[in-house]
Parts: sequence; C-alpha cells; structure tokens
Amino acid sequence: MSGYLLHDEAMLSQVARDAVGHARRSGFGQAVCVAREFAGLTIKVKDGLPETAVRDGGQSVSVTVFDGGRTGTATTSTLTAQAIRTAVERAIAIAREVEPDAEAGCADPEWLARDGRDVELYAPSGLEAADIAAAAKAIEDAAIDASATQPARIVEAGATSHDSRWARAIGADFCRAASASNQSRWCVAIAERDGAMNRAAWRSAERRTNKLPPPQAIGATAVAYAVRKLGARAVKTQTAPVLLDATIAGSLVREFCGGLFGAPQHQKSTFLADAMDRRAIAAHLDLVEDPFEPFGMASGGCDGEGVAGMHRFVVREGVVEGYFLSSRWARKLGRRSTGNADGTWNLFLTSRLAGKADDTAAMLRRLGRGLWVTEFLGGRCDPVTGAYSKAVAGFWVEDGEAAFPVQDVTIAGDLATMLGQLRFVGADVYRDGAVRTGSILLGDMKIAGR
Amino acid sequence: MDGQGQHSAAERFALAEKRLLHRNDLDVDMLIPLLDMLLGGGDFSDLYFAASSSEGWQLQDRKVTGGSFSATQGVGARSVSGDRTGFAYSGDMSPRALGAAIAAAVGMSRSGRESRRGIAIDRPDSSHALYSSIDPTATADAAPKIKLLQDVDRLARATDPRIVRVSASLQMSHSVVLVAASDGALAGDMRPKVQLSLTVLAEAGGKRANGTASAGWRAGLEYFDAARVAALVAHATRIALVNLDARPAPAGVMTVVLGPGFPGVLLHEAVGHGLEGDAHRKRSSVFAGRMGTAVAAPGVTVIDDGTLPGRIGSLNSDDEGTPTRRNVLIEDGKLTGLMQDRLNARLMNDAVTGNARRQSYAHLPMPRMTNTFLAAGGHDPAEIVESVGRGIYAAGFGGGQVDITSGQFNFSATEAYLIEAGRVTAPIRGATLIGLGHEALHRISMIGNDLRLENGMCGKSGQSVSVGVGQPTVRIEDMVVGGTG
Repeated sequence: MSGYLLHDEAMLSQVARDAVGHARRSGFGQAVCVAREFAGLTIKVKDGLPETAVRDGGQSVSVTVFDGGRTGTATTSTLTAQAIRTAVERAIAIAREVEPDAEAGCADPEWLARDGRDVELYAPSGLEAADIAAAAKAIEDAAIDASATQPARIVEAGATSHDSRWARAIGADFCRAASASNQSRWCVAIAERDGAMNRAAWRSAERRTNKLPPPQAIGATAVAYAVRKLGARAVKTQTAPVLLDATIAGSLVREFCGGLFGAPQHQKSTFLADAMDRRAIAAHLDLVEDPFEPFGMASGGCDGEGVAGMHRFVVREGVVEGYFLSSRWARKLGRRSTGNADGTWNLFLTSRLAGKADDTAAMLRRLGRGLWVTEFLGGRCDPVTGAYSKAVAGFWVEDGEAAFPVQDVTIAGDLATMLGQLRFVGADVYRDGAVRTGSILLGDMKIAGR
Repeated sequence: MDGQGQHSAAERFALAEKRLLHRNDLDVDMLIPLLDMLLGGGDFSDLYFAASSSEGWQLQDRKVTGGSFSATQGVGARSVSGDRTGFAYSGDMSPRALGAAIAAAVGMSRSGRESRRGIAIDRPDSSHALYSSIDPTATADAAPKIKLLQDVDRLARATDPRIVRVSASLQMSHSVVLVAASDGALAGDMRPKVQLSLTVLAEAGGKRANGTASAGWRAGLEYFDAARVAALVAHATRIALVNLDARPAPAGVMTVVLGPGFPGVLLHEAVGHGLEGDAHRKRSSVFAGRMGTAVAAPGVTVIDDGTLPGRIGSLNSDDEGTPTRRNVLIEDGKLTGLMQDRLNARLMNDAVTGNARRQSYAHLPMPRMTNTFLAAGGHDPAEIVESVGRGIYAAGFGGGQVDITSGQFNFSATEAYLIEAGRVTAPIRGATLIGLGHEALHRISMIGNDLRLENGMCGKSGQSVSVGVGQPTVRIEDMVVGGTG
C-alpha cells in the first residue's frame, strides 16, 4: 500500500551519504547526517463535517560534524544540493569555533549497528482525506450516541494518518534507512451540570490502523470520562495512600528513568546519583526495555548515533542494572553506549507480586481508602531532589470503591521514597507511548485540599 | 531604517517581499489569483510565507563545546468557509509547489462553490515599529557568543563556592514573514529574538539544589550587556543557594503572596487562556457568556498588550497581518474583552484584536496571548507581606497549566518562602498552587505598585509561541498549597 511520502529510502540515503561525503572532503571524517521526510493528514470533524483538514508534509537534513571533540550541527528544510552544502559548511564553521569535549564524537566504530536487525514500523494506511474524515465522523457519531442520555456534548473528534522516513549516514561506511507510520484517533467531550463544566479527552495511537480501537470505544470513553468528573470536590488535607491509574502511571516511570540518563548520572544532578547496582525501587519490581517490538511506539533498529539498543533489564528486583547512555555520556562514565541517544525504547514495568486477577477493580480494593488519581493536571518533580508535587484529579475511594470525584487537590512526596515503598503494580496494563505499566499503588502521600 | 535598525511598515514589507516572494519567482500581483483559487467560494483565504533561521550555543562543564544552526522556510495556505478550514503547507515556495499546496487546501475544505468576488490586496497598515529588524543569526562570528556564555559561567562560579555546576545556553533567531489575505490584508515583518538561559547547581552538606534564570528580547546579542548578565546570574544563583536550605512546603489552604514578574503566569493560566476567542465560540471556557459581568475582585485589571517595544511577546502585526494592540480583558473586575483571530471574530461578530498567532508556516493560526499582565495597584509590596500573619510568599514559578473548561489551574513554585507574623522567613520546596481561576480572581485582596514583566513560552494545541507574563505583588486568600510539610 502506498503512503504519503514523496521520497524512497534510497533517495534519502543518497542525500545523507552526499552530505557526509561533503563533510569528509572538507576534512571532517567524523560526520553524521540524517535526511528525513514526513507527510500525512489530520482532520477534525464537527457536526459530521471536517472542521479543520490539514495536509502535512515536510523534510529536513541535519548534519553534525565533530572535530577533535568540537561539535557543530546545522539543519535545513530545503533538500537542494546547494542548501545541503551550505548546511554542512555552517556545521563545520561552528565546529571550528567551539571548544573541545574529549568525549564528544561519533559512536565508536565497534558500537555501530551496521547490519543490525530492522524493526517493522511502517504500515501506510493508504487513507485519503475523505477516509480520514469518515473515521473521525464515526468517532463523533459514537460519542453523540453515548451522550444521548448524558449531560455531555462533543467538542471535537479527530483522526490522523502520518508516515515518516529517514536515512542516517555516519562516517565512511554507515548508512541505514527506516520508515514508520502513525495512526491516531481522538475525541474531546464536555459534560455540564449545574453551571459546572468538565472536559475529558480520549486518544489512541498505533502504527497500524487495524490495531486502533473501534470508534465506539474512543467516543464513548471520552463522554464517560467527562461525565464521571461532574460533581467533583476537594478533600481535606490529609495523608493517605494513592493509586495512579494505569493510563497516567507511565509518568512515574518516566520520572524515574530521567535520573538514569548519562548526563544526570555524570553530573550527579539527580536524586538517583550512582544508582547502578543499587536498589532504587521496591524489590518486587522489574523494568524491561525492548527496542525491537514490531510496530512498537518506541521501537527502532538503532539510535541517532547508529547504536542499537538492547532487550534488557534496566531494573531487576528493584536493583538498577542499566543506564540510558549516548556515546558521549557513556565515555564520560567509562561505559559503553546503550543506544539511548534519542531516549528510552519501549519500557515495561511489572511487579512479581501481580497476578492476572489484579485488574483495576482489584487495585481499588487493595487501595481500600485513599485517592485514585486518573489525571495529572500539572505540577513538578524536581529531578535533583526528587521533591514531588502534582496537581491531580480523580476519585476518593472508600471500602475499595470510588466514592466521589475529586478536584482542587495536590499530592506530594519524595520520589525516592515513593519508588522505594511502591506497593503494587496491577495487571491492568496500559501503553502510554513508550511505557507500559499497570496501575501503580503508592504508599502514604500528603494530599492537600480544602 | 532608523539608527536602532528599526524599519517602517513599508520598509519591512519591501524586505519581506524581496526575501520571500522575489527570491522564489513570485510577486504580490501573482498572489491575487492564488488567493482567489484558495478562496474557492469560501469566506476567507490567506497565504503565510516565512523564512526562519536559528542558532544555539550551549555551555556545560565550563566549556562551549557545541553549537547548532537551523534554517527553515515555507508557505501555509488556508481556506476558510464558515467554521471549516482547509490547510496545506509546503517547504518549497516555488509557484508550482504553492499551486499544489493551494489545491490540497481547497480539496480538503471542499466547499464546492465558485469564487464570487474579486480580490484587492492593500498595502501594509501596521504603523508599529516595536523592535529592530536585525538578524542575530546573520553573523558567523562565534567568538562574542562563546565569550558571553563563558562570562556567565565565570560569574556564576565566583558568586559562591557552593555553586558547583553551571549550564547555560544562548538562542538567537530571526523570522521574516509575509501574510496576504483575500480580504486585502497584507503585511510583512522581521522578528529577531535573543535569549540567554542558565541553570546552576549548588551543593553543600550532601544537599543539592538547582536555580534557573532566563531573559530575552527582540534584539541582537548586544542586548546582553554586563549589567543584564550579572542580574541573570545573580537570580539563578540566589535561587539555588536559597533552595539548599529549603524545607518541605506546608500543605493546605492558606494566604499566598505572589511576588512581581513571572508569578503573573497565574493570570496567564487562570484567566488568559480562558479569554481566547476560540474557547468562547465553542463554549469550552468557564468564562463563556460572562462578558460585562464581574469575574474578579474590584481593582483587578488584566491587559494583553502586543505593542510593548522589544518584548518577545510583542509583534508589529499578528500572523494574520492585523496590527497588534492593547486589549483590556478585565477592567476593575469586569470582563470587557476577548482575544480574537479572524475566524473566531467573524463567527462571533466581534472585532479582530491582533492576537492571531502560529508557531510556523506549518501550523494554523489561533487566538493567543502576547504580553498578558495584571495592572499595578496602589499597595507597597512590603505592606502586602506585613499584612499576612501566616502564609506563603512565592517569588518564582516553573510554569503552570490550566483546564479552561473547569477553570482549574496549577503552578509549581521554584522559589518560595514561609510568611510568619508579617515577615518572609524560611525557604520552602515542592510547593504546588492549585485552584479555580474564576474563584481565585475573586480572592485577590491586595495589589502592589511594582508591576514587572518577564518572558515565557506558551503551549496550546501543540503549538509553542513566546509570550510575556507579568504582575505586581499580589495577595490572594484561601489558595490550596500542595506540599509534604
């Protein structure tokens, strides 16, 4: 099936190789070039007709050159030979001016995944504007049906289909290309009662259209989530356990992983300083990274430096076994790149205590009395100190069941303590981008309310 | 052009026309049939051309070891019929590529009607000259940029031996934009920006704490003279050193005094987003339908002003070619105005306000804030603090969020203290403030005379734009403060 892209992998590879070749002829053997293209359609419908219909499409070439640890990068959105030569020359000019960092440079040759496995990411939908509009309309129709007996209205229903492609050339003999697809569907609803309004959105993103949930699941969920927030009130300031719903619990995993990157580890600017081989989270927990999951939302054959990731335990039984390292920070720490120059690959948090029966209802029973958080509204986790304070919405739970919706509250704690005393991870697994986790039951936290 | 590099509207337009049209074998007369085709029987069409360059330099571990440069250009083609919009864009600005983008936009808006009127394009009408047209990225000479960052590092470390790490970055950008619309609007603008940011890490007795500071202006590198750099460094280092001794923030309902400047993000979140026209047209704002009514305590006046010279939230004309202006949103507690773009103003039978903004040619414009602030009141700031028996003094925030539908907002303090018996005492950490915007506005009980504006980045629907936020010192009753103390 054809996609939205104009250029094939061979063409982008040639652009990338040519740019690196130009840098090499200028005396810069350590050069990385990425040529990218993306294209697709985004349509939002209202009352059955497209409200906004956007045809996306763009391309870029980014060149990085290293000169004895000096780094220069230049990017252009124009793919003409002249524009690319100008970009290479600007990158070189920058590299000549800055100071050296002994550890900066291309990945070590033995780290490069020249012939590593490719991961399937490309599944072009072939959908045209009318098809995307119909997909969005089906979601809106489903939401309207679901709201027929509810105090709710539909603000927006939307659908997108995008393809992207990139080729990366590094030094004399590395060039790999890949293509990926992204499909997304969403709905936004507002529930209204007694002059109070609440908004909720539900979204699903996949690489393949046939893996998307049916329109009813998206439209009806948005309506149900908006309606269930009606009548929310604050709770009294108190200390109580907190259950993070699976749909939002991935943020805690990301905040934990943020401290395991090379920069904060080297600079000791994290509450997880020198975490390797130490217990950083509760002993019943494992965190596994998998770069190679077919059609995974954070899968890939190699990172932006040409280094493949590993299917590995980042944490096993609560003990940190791996950092997330790019070449530069790996060298500074005296380690090997883990292929994480662009961030984490797919992550899976699991508890050795959980069984199949530990669904959300079971997790609420485990919570007993406390706060079930279904939405993070904002707030902050200080990456240096681990001071954690978030504005949230959700439900107050009594006797293992939701008693009433809650708003105007914050939860606060110390992230290191929260992770160390993490009680349970449910089997109600939800994938939020790169992270899969069930709902997370935390120990006592300070809940501020009225 | 005058001595400060500022051009008149006509000069700006001529420069934009040369850079964006002539260089791509286009001219203004050629845009008329293209806009007509794009209109396709609809109500409105526009073309937005832009060429942007940006440059970034980073300092870490005492050295500037890397820099980056980026150049992008393209054109966005929009066709509007009623409340329906078709939009396509292209990184190629040749007449052929422009024709293809227009066909795609028209094809998706599918109005199916024939064009029904001729188009006449006017000359530019913004008389503002709010900033220089200088391109800070034009010079490849890196030495002064690297020296600036090294000065920051040296100054920060010299402040106190407990400052153990300094990271700093310098960002410079320049955008040339030209917008032509089927209703005759035509404008060109050149928008420079320079920003300096730093983060310092303080360490003592096994404790660590961060301090950050950032400043920027629509100008070139010369904006950062010795005094401005020293002030920025002093700000970041003070926060880090203070936070070394911070104790956990108390939790519960209390009186909060917000310091002048960036705490105005409260207004931005709690009020500003809720007064953008699209949210009112779709009845998704808690303020919808409340025009003319009291939405805040008496004495509260909130203004959005895109005409403040040099500020990064200011624009000579917005991204639809409308000259920016000063819009009073709330006057003495009463809701008096909204921020509008063309689409929403037309559908609401309202006037445009110069608030149409877009992140780039690849994004649709929508109503956005420029520089939004709470006007100064009559109280001495010291008097406000002295009036509080026990509460929180919040001097700095890391940003905030709002749900415009429920009105619920929150923001996180990066520098905050206890107030005890009318005096600012111990520093506290981890304080998040939360509330309902329409309620918090009624709880403003004292407004200081020390209005100050600062810079911010504002995100909405996936688009990011530079804004100004500001306020004087204010006292707010009964806010929920989240902390662990």
